[in-house]
Amino acid sequence: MRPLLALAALASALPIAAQTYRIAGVVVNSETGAALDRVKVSVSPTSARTRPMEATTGSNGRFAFANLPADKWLLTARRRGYLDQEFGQPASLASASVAIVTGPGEDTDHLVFGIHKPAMIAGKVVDSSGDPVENAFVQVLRWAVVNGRRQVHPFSSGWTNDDGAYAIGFLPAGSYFVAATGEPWYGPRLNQDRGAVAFPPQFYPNTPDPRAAVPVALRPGQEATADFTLTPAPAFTLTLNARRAQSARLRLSSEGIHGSPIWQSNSQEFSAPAYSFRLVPGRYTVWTWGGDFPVAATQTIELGSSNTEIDLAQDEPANVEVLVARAGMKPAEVADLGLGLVSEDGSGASPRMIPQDGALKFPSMPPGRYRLALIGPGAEDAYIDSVSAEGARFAKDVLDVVAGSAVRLRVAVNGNGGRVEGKVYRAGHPFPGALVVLSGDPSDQHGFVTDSDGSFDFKCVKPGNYVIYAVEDGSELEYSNPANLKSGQPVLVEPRKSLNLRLDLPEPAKPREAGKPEGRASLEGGLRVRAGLQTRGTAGLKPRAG
Amino acid sequence: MHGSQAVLVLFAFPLLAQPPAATGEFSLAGSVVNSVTGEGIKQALVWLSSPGAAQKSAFTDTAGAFRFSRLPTALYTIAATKPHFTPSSPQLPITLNSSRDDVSLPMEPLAVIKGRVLDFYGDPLSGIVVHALRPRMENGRRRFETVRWARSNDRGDYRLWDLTPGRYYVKAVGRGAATMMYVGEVRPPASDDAFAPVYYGGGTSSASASPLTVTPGAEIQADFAIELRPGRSIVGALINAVPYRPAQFQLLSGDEDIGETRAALNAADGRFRIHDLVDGTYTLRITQGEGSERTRAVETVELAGRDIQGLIVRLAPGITVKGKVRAEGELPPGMRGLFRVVLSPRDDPDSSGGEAYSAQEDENLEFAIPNVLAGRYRVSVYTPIGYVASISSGDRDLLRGGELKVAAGELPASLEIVVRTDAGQVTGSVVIDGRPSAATVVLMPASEPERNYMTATAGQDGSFTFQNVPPGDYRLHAWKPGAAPEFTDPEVLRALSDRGERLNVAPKGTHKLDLTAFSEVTP
Repeated sequence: MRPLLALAALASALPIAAQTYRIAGVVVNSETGAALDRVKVSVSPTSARTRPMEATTGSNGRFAFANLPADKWLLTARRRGYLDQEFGQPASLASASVAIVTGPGEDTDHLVFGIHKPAMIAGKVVDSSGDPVENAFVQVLRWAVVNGRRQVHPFSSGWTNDDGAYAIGFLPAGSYFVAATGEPWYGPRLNQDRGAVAFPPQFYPNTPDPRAAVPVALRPGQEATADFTLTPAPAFTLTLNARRAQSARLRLSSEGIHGSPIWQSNSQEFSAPAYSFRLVPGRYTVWTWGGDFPVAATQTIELGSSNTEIDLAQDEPANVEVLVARAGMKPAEVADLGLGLVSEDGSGASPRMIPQDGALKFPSMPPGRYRLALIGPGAEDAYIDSVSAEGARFAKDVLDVVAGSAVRLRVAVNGNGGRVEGKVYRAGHPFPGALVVLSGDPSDQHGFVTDSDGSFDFKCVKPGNYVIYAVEDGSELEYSNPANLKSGQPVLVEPRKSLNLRLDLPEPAKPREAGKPEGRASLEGGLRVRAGLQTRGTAGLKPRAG
Repeated sequence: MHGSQAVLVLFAFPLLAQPPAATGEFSLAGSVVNSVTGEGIKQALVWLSSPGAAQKSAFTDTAGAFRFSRLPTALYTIAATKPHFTPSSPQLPITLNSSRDDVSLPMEPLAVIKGRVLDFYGDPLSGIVVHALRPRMENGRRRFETVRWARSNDRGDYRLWDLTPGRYYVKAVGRGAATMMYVGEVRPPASDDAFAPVYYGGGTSSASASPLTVTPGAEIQADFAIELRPGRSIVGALINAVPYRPAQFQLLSGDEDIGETRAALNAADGRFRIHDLVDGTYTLRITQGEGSERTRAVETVELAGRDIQGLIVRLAPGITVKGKVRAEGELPPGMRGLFRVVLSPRDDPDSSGGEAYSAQEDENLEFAIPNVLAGRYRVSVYTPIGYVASISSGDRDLLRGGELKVAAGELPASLEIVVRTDAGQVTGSVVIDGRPSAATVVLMPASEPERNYMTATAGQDGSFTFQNVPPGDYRLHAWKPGAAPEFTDPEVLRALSDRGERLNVAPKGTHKLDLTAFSEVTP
């Protein structure tokens, strides 16, 4: 007995070797299923994404990362001729990735990482005589969810060459509207007695009416053709004057598809005292920035059937000073926390890391409506508890900054939030890639794309009443639409308390066609991963990745 | 005959005196043709001008034909324009006293260089910046000027158009890039492939590159197969950076333009990463801010087989470079602004826009050039009253190839400039085969001609003048405009040593010398 006892004592004294795991699998073309070589695959803990490990696939497309601890991992792939992407992103790339969870009972050794070839829209722009239009500006737009609502947004663009040809590539699969604007080369040279001419914008399939625009549907790797004929029409002169500025850059947009802006060809260099455009009648927005304009500005102009002259708006910038008070946070979390003022149209943010004394300055802010957002690694562990403002109106979580104002904000940030975690299931199985929405008031929306084990985890949620729900495909979810809350369940989040929930997705209406590739990530060995979709650019939906 | 007709018509013009009537009985017609193919050019815009009357315009039809009708008797000029053709020069004036339908307006088509950029696996490379360069002579050195540039699209295709005929070098410079600013922790872009700039034909420098000869209307294919290598990175931190203020990172490699630099700067704490680099020695230049608030750091970095980690770079404001001019000889009494001292950057290839500084002397013949940022500079002095005998900073001779090195926070020794006023003057004419000829004229001293040469331009009358010539022995050379060789090249200098006209310039001497032959040289 003695020796045995001694051995048992020795064994208990030795450190137990930590259990390690593998993330391994094969990278394939999402459309054909063919294994891909020369793919750079990298993996990093979701909590430390700056230090990835990297491997390159051979001819069998295989990759493997061994000796990994139990954790949540971000897996990415890069290969020339394919879109850069993260594991679990759908062909539209309109969603966050699926984190891979390593741990007991998790099969992470048989991943099939389907990556998507980019699509392209190419074509030719000619004028009514069949001559190529050089420097025509071609824009592609697609639906996106911004501030919780579906809108058509510019996605990419390109210019035509001397042959009138353009090619806009690196497009994820999806449906795109296409529009072309340009100027007749002879426009500036024509005699006064001929009258000014301009090209009205043209929309695919070659119509001047934005309401008749039809999107082009693209599968991964598909190349679509969208040709345009620009027809000159009588135009009038819009002259822009500046009272004080000597120079600026100008760009004009007209109303496009579902309210999205359609840009006129190139931006122009304004030089005092005036700049003139030749335009067909319509409503235009002039965008001004740079030069000696104090701030970027926009203004809308109606151009009728006569030459028009206007003064450019020259707003003064505002100065915003913020004092941040932090409570309930660890020193490391405090150091990693930043604050941004995000303009409400999602067009820009001005993030700053919060210093020890909590005092921040945002000088030279353009007037506009801004939301406050926490950024940085510490943002997961804090929430904005309250905001008070002097010199500006702050209501419904929106700060209304007016020209030339001096704004003082007091922001209370709190780390004593509650935790809401759990798993999403379908038919009794954990469901990766679903979008879980935790909805408070309209400005307090959180989203989480479930990890490979179906789990979600909202870490530091402001205490209060919420509704939680999950959807299989969240890529175009209008999460601000109250109708979506009907399927949700109410939850009360309390300080420093944790809720563990189970959410069940309904059975799919139609079974998937057997053998048909979906262009999505999957796991070998039966557990299928569906990519949950969290639309990019969703200002207001606070993404929480594992 | 045409010439004399034109003169007659022009002299006849005042006799017409009154502006022509708005309409008349004549027509003027013709065609706009491609001077290479002879085909008509459709949809060209044709201008008809007449003194005192509104300009008229017409488009050509599909066969290139145009017609102006109901024209009164008058003197007209006519011209055409169309994209991708050289504008037709205005024709000789046409006196219209009967209808004409035989006017031909030839236009020369411009050329295109196009191609595809692929990697060694045959995959297209997108976003590669391709330059069309033309050589030109500047200060006796062959420099390359970017005439057009384009980025390859997602198929790897690029296209450079509207090129005038001539010899071009085509160069894949690098990927389009900029300095990105971020806050917090961002995942840096995965290490990418990189390549050293390469010329069409495979050369890695302009000296080893093969030029393309472009003719009017040509469409020349110039494909690239790029050898990609693992990209290297430089990781470090900026000291003295102002948080959240934009900064520009530039890597320079002598005279070769290596494209824009891909860098990411943490706006809050100054940490940076420069990536997608190939091995080599670079000058790293980082500039932050605008105007007088600018700060700069300049470091030499060498990448050899691995990344650089932990590079600490210190930004510093510009310094004031001071100096004094000493004149040997008499100065015009009471005159100021006789000397302009210019610092020209030496680190920059043509396209990176280095900035020059300048100042003029005060009443004590002293000068101060404020806010000079770190870098290497050539010092030049411009004066109408003599020639520069020496420029020095401490024990460094800056006149004979020396550079002024401005380092962060270090004041260089004062610039000492000596100007002498005993200069001579050389005038003359270039007369080839008995006729005055336009030319580039170069005066080369016997001592250090590669540095101390002087150039002048002879106009159509052949005359030239060199002012403020230091006394000494010289040779005088002439070349047709644009045909001067790279005369700072030692081989060219050797070949020139027994050519041209010899002369000795005496102190305050005036010399007249005609050149009757171009200096033939085959380097």
